[in-house]
Amino acid sequence: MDESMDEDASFEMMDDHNHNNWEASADAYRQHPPNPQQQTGHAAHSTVCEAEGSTLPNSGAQSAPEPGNGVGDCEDSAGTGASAGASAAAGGKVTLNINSSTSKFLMNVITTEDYKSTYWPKLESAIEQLLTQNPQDYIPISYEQIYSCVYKCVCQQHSEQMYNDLIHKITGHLQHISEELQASPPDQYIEKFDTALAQYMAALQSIVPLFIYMNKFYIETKLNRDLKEDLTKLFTDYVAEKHVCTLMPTVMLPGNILCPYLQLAISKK
Amino acid sequence: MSSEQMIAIMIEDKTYSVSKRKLIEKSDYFRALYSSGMKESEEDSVQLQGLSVHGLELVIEFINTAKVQIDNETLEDLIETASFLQVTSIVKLLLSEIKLDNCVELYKLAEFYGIHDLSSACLKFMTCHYHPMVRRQEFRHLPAAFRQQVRDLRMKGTATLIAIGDFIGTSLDLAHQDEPWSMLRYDEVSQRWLPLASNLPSDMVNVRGYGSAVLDNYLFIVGGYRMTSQEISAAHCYNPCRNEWNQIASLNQKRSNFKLLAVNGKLYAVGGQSVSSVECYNPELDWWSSVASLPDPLAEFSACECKGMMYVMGGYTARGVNIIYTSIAFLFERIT
Repeated sequence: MDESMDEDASFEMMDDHNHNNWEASADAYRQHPPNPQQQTGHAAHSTVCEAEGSTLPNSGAQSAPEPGNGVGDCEDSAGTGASAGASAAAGGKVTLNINSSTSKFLMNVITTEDYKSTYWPKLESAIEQLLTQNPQDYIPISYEQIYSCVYKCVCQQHSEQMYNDLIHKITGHLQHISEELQASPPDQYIEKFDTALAQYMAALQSIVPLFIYMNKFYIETKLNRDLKEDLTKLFTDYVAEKHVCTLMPTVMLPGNILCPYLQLAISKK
Repeated sequence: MSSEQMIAIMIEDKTYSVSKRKLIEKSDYFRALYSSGMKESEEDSVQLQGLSVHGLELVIEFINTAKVQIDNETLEDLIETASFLQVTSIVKLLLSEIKLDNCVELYKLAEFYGIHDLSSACLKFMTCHYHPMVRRQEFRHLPAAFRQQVRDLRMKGTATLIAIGDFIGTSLDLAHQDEPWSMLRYDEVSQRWLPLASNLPSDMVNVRGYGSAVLDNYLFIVGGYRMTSQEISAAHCYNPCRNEWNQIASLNQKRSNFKLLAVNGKLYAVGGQSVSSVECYNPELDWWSSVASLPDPLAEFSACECKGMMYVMGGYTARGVNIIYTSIAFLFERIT
């Protein structure tokens, strides 16, 4: 586990300055379809659009672009007729002057296969460790390495996949926790539940900061949600709700007396 | 000062010592790092990888001094590092640094790193400075659909009728009568002419017989003659997005009482008093060049553009002492 963390993919990337990717990114340059509601008044003599009209509208097409829009996903650009035509019109080979410097991060395109074989396994093992270690224990994982990994994946358009993988991974973990709780003897039940909750909340203390870049540029902007809330809700959905029947009478109401109000709330589930 | 905890930020073989408090204050990366409880949060150093040394130096300078040196060569390093370390206040600073010579690159970088504020500000800048932009090579190399989008954005807003002239002592009920308004706009809601606060350049005052046309939502006023009957070749354009006048390249031939037409993204100055020549203005070059002349000099003729072609109609030609009225219409086909 530790060894896999020490091996940083960015080392390989530093040696491989593949400028073609930048040219590809020019071809895949973000396109907006021409606005069909274009004013025709400009054809009339001495008719100009007024100054206040210059304020750019917040049209849906423009809001919240994901980072890395335009990075060399050539298949995507070829897929839309408009952009394919546009790159042909631009002379095929567009010279971008942003390839002159020494950017090491985003030189290489991360394909879906790269993501699945290299990036996600690295993230998954870090998440696994954070979810299962004791809250007080020293965390041997480097923030920098995991953050870089998330950052690259977001910039290379893997946010959606990464978000789904993260949710899937944590859901699986929580289902396992839930089953363990179910099987635990009644006298240890509350203690085990408390430990599981504490461990999960401690893990979120680390997991959420690791994914701030994805939160900012995908979850907040595209999904209008928040990672911490999403992950907290997972615990409610997969653990707390399933065990509320067992927990509530013992914790809240000694003597196993359910008040009608609570009974109603539980039976609705 | 002595109690301030310092963090050693290491990159390649270099180390920079920065106040932990400032790092947490300015950078979301460091704020999240120190709240994560992970390996580095217990240590007094952080090893960064993959960023450029120069970009990191610029960002650390900003974290320490709230100032940053912005030049075109290092824009990418700066934005990449600011984006990675989530130093969002640098982006706010960049918003006021958008210029003709950096807006295309800034736009590309902002799109790439998902900095929405900056990319829309750059797009707005290109829209407002459309003609200066089309003269720039890096803009012309952008995909045609993108350039079209910038051009389309210029056309947003309400089409408005504008009058130019000397409106002192007119019967119009204008606000601030004492001010010498030279431009009026017609307000369709109140059905009144209202002053447009952008005074004409002084050398355009009292010019008559000029040509005017709108191209890419710029209003062009070209040529004409002064009160002294002296013809001029000067040309100006009004940019409603910035509410300002700019002088453009002058005509090669002084002319007045001619027609100015916008056809296929170019301007054509057709004929004039005793002039048969036609000139074409290319906004990409800011230059007038000669194209095929009219068969004869025409006076008081009409001209229009229709579906990419220019039509010249009516008027009269003066041969010797005789005035010959013409009923001929000329057609200029796609002079490009």
